[in-house]
Amino acid sequence: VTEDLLRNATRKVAATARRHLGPHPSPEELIAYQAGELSSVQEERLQAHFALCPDCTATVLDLGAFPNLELRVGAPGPLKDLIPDWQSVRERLSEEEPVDAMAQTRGSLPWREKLLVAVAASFFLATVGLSYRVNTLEQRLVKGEVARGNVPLFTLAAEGVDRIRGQEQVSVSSDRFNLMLFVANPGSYKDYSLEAVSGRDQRSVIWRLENLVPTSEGIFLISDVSRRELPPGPYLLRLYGGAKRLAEYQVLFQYDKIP
Amino acid sequence: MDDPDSMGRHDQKPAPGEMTPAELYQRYAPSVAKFFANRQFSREQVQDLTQDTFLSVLRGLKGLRSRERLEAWVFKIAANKWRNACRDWTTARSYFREGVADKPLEAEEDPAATEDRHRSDNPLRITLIREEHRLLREALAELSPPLQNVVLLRLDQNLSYEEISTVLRIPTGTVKSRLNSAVRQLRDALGHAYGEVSL
Repeated sequence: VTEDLLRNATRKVAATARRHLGPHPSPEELIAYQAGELSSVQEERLQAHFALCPDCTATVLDLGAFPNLELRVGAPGPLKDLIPDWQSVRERLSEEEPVDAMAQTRGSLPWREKLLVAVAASFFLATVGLSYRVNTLEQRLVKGEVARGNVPLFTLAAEGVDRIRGQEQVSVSSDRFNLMLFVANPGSYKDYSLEAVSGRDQRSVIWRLENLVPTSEGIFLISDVSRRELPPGPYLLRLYGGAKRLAEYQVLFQYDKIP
Repeated sequence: MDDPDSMGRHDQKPAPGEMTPAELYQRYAPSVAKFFANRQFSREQVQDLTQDTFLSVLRGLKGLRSRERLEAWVFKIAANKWRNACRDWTTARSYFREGVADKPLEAEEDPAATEDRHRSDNPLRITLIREEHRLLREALAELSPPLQNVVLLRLDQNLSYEEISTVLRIPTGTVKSRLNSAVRQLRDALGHAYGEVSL
């Protein structure tokens, strides 16, 4: 007997037995199996299935390794091409939520759907409230209550940690300007700081601002920035909470001639 | 910005309440995409399934509390999407139906011919190999289910000891001892014909 002969015989046995293979276990069963929550009889049934089913075996192995999976040979790659843009996921989510909420208001709803409606309504109210607050802040800025008046205000949004929405273009025609930075989750840190790194080499720190304080809505107002501090060109603005990088904003500053 | 290929390799495991949707996406989207890519879906299908998975994850996020359940929950949603896709998509269905491991079996219908193709056309030798093969299959069929499982995973699915240990949820030492027991029983059944093959 050679190893090849033994392997062939085993495969023949497996192929014959596979013809009588029962239904695949559900994902819930696989997770319960991996967590050791099944009875010994159920475990034996699943193990007999795994011995004959490469698909379920691979799924159990992936479950054991999750979330630290590796791409197997033959899988399409590279990985960055496989992950859809977060922005599109978020847009789809926000598009669907109001529709679901409208549909669920008709007739009597189960408690889970009522909860969804309540969550959607909360999001809506929070959005309205935040918009009002931002609008008020903008007005206060323009009036000079928060910072110097008659200074243009630019808003920059980041998509969570290390996610850049795209290069924002800031065209300034006055000597000074204000920036309003949005961050997905400012957290709670003792110190917040902002640094401007050259967008060309992404290393040289051109400008740094310490002791920033977020508003109660998690917005950072950077007021009275002089165009002399940030010469025209591309920058990477990095917002830190303590030593943790909270967000990055890719910005292109373009200065017009001061009238 | 970090290389997207390195996304998800974080040691910290914050609780769901401590993560924003964007952070949750950043942490688990690469793993979910790999899960689908490992199932032979096309690039576009991987993107669609990953997006669908996260829409379900984020819609249901409010109902989740404990840290321990988060990864299993994300995986469950991904696995359910995969199962549904296998039912819905022709390509996935054909992959599922044909089964990767089934393909070589068809080519190995005549083990004696495979074994002896390059040696000789001696009818007596071919007959002996066929007989050996029949005896082997009978001996394999006589093994107890726990021994059959480890032999099938080792020889049919080409798994390592560690992988078998993960799949069967038994220590690696138990895997090795079961394989040794299987070899002993096969040797007893086949006598000297078994030779020195180990698993």
